[in-house]
Amino acid sequence: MNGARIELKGAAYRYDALVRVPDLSLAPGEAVACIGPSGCGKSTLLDLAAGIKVAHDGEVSYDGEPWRALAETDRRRRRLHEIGFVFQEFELLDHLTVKENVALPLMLQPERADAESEPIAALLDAAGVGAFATRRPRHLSHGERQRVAICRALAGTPRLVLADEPTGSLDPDTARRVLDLLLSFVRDRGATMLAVTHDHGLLDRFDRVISFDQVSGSGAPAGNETAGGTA
Amino acid sequence: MKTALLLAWRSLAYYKVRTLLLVGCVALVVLLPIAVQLLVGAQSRALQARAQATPLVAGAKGSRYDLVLNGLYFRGRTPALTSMAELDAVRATGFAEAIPILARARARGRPLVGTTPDYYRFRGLRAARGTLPLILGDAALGADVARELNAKVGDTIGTDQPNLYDLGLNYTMNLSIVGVFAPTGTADDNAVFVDLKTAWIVDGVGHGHDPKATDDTVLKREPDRIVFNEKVRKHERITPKNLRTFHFHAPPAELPLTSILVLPHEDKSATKLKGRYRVSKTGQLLVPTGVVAEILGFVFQVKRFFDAHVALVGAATALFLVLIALLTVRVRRREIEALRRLGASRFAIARIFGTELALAVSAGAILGALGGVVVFLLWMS
Repeated sequence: MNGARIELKGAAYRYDALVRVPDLSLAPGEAVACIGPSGCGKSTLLDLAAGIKVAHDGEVSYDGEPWRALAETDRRRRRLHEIGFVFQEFELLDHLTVKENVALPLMLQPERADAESEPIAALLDAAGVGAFATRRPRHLSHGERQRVAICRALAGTPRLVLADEPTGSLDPDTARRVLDLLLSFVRDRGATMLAVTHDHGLLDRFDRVISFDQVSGSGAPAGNETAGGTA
Repeated sequence: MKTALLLAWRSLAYYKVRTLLLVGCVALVVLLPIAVQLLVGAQSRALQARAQATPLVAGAKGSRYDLVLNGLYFRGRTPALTSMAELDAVRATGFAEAIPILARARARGRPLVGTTPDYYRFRGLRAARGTLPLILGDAALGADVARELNAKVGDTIGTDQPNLYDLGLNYTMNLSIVGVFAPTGTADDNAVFVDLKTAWIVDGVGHGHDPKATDDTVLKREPDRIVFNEKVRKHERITPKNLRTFHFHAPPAELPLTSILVLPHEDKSATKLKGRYRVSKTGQLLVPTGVVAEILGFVFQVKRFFDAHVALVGAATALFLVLIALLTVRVRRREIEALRRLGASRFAIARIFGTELALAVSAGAILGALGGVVVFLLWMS
């Protein structure tokens, strides 16, 4: 499966004030990091890229098709089938086992609800949390939970992976291991990845880095682009 | 649907306290009206069945409710007393069979019913153990009385003293248990049956004592009784040895009865008897089904208030459930947001949470219904 192509041009979303996000173009299979200070609109960038929010200004397109042109049902369906999310706070459901949490995106798709459990088990094994498959998330460490959250984002073999501070609350060693795991999964599957982070120590793992050169406001959208290294 | 069921079940099983509170709340709301409905239904059916099985009941003028409740169910206040003369009068018409009943005293808290063997035949009472109470001082227990008192043939049962301020007024006797009736599911199961003469003795109309009373043993004479000194000892149990000492101080026609079951030979006879009683100044003849219908009318009127109360409690519970659903959405906002971001539709999320609530409410309703049935069965047993 090919990665998705994402483009943001002059995109802005209105809360109380208008929040502008950098212009951005992600080629299929590319892994891009976006950095910036807290409150500058990094999470809004991910929501716009995923079609969760529709830009009030500018254009955001997925595979050349503007999100704005799609109905809410179609946006949701595409998100469910083609996009994987890694949340900053993991957002694992306490009442489900690790395995059920990972399978959740599949369970929400009626046609894939009865999917074989072997791929899920293999994914958990590859992430080093296979032994915890039947445990509840609250019995896992921070790093283990983050690995489970990554497995959930990848369970549906997405074309686009969006990660919101995927290493935000991890110690540096664990953060590096978790990010390497995520990137290896994404690259193995040829998916596109956009991660927002403020962890400058990990930027060399990405193909490219975009930085917000100004915090939210009504200023002109702009991104400062630097080349990253490959992990 | 499978996913919604799985997620709902997992949540209910994980948050046990919350689930138990919700299920328990619904179960309690459902339990009470179901138990009351079953109890009222069963009791009213039992009352009606007994009334339908008894064509007519006669007695002294007074409360018709007291007469029917006492004559058929041995409950409530003692009706105005009638007498053997009334029984003889009914029999003398040749229109009906008449069965006397004296149900005024109690034995170990249960009604003590004095009657004749005709009653057992009429009600279809059969001794499961022992014999019928045919001799003075014998008693046969209803099935429930025998079970509750753990009494068996050969034991004795004491009558209750209703007048604690004058122990000499009423006779406290130990009756010999000679039989236990098979259960019938009627008021007979909860009564102690004796021969009519035994009932009169317990009632204070007759007694047995040694030696024979003479003028030097009399302390005082009153219009309705004679008080003896301590030389005259009343027998507290009737035995073959002292049987002959028992006697009555009233003419046979004046011996009291609480009611008379009247079994007309045919419809025409019943009509004629009703006509005779319509002009009677001292007696009344009642059709039990009509009186029971009146009593049940009162009961159902009260039950309607109860039903309205239950409906209001049910409505309040429904509003609480809505409140719980709304609070759940607030408390579990992060979970809902995560599901939404993963791509779940609003409908799918609503279905998951709705299924959770429906499962809890259904479990509560089923538990409440089962609890209601259990309460009903326990009450009936």
